[in-house]
Amino acid sequence: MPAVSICTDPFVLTAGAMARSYGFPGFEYVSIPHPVASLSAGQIRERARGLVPGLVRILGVE
Amino acid sequence: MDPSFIEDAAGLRQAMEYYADQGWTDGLPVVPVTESYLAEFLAQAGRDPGDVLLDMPHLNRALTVRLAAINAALAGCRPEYFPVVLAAWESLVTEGYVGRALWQSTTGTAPFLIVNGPVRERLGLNSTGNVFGSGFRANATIGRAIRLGAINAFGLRPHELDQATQGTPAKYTACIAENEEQSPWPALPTEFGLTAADSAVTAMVIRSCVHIEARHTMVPEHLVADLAGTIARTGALVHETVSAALILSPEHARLFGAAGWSKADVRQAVYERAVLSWPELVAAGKEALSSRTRWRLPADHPDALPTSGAPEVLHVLTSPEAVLVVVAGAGNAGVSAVVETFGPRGGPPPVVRVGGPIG
Repeated sequence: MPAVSICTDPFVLTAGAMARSYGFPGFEYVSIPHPVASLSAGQIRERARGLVPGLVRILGVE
Repeated sequence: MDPSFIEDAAGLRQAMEYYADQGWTDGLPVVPVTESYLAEFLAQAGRDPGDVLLDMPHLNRALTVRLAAINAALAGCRPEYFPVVLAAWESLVTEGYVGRALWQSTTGTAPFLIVNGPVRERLGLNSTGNVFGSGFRANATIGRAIRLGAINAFGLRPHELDQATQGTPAKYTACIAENEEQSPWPALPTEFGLTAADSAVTAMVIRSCVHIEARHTMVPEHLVADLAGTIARTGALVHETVSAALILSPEHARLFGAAGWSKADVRQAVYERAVLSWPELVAAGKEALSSRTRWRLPADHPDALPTSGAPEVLHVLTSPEAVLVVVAGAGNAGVSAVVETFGPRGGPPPVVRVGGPIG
């Protein structure tokens, strides 16, 4: 099943390091603003809406 | 000193700079390692250099005996320390947290080692004054050998695979020996099936080491209040419960011992007193548990499990066994420490006998 990884901006360095350690230095994923853990349900929905275009782009949907 | 050594110093410095440029360090200089020097460590191992000590499949990396030896040498260990380093790795693997990516977590943990038995004296491991501090090669370098292994074998470098938000000073090194000679109780490993003649390492992943100062009393219950109050602080209560190792100074240990308390009595009393009231939990927004992670959160959070009323108190320890009792430090003051661990929360700690030639 096609999947896209999502992380928050401060984890971009680690995401890149993980991708390199698996031999995929150009691996694409979506990054969103931090934090997430302390958001309300409404704010979470907003974040989710905001990341949809990135998911669609990486999945290659026309 | 042989003058030719001075002539070689430029080469030595060049090697140290090269190692630093490669990132094979925690920031402090490391000792250059040649095959012949490595062989001295491997001769102490009593096992195959290719044996895998710790596998992290999610990172595509594994730590072999050879890699552990290289990092012990880099850390400044003497070859005869290596069996203790190996026992420390085995203990960490037995505890289980390091294999589950905890060293990469934002929490920012460190490996903490407690050494017992005759090996302490043979290697010059400090168990008395300044036990958490600097000044003793065996303590400093055995602890550092674990950290350098994490950095070099697994790539757990800050700003890369190590995501610690702040980390802890214990990340450089954290290795103490138990002060068995000034303890009123049997040594830690004897509680878990070993004898006083065995040398052993007990490793644990820790979050912090909190200072306790209680010079004012000879009443055991007063001291319990200080220890339990520290264990029960809300800032440490991330999950459902916590666990801890009490590192008691000889003075505090003797205070309990003179009152006729065993280690089990200390554990029981600390368990009973390490509580938070419902208003204290609510004030910190930690009265409920997440249905998914079992992390603490406010009762009105969408992920919160329903709470069954307001209990009078929450015991932050699952049982008296969630607290370990160890004696270390100088016998000169009423100063102790609570080491905040990830476990055990009732199970036995990972006590590993030191094997190999010096066992």
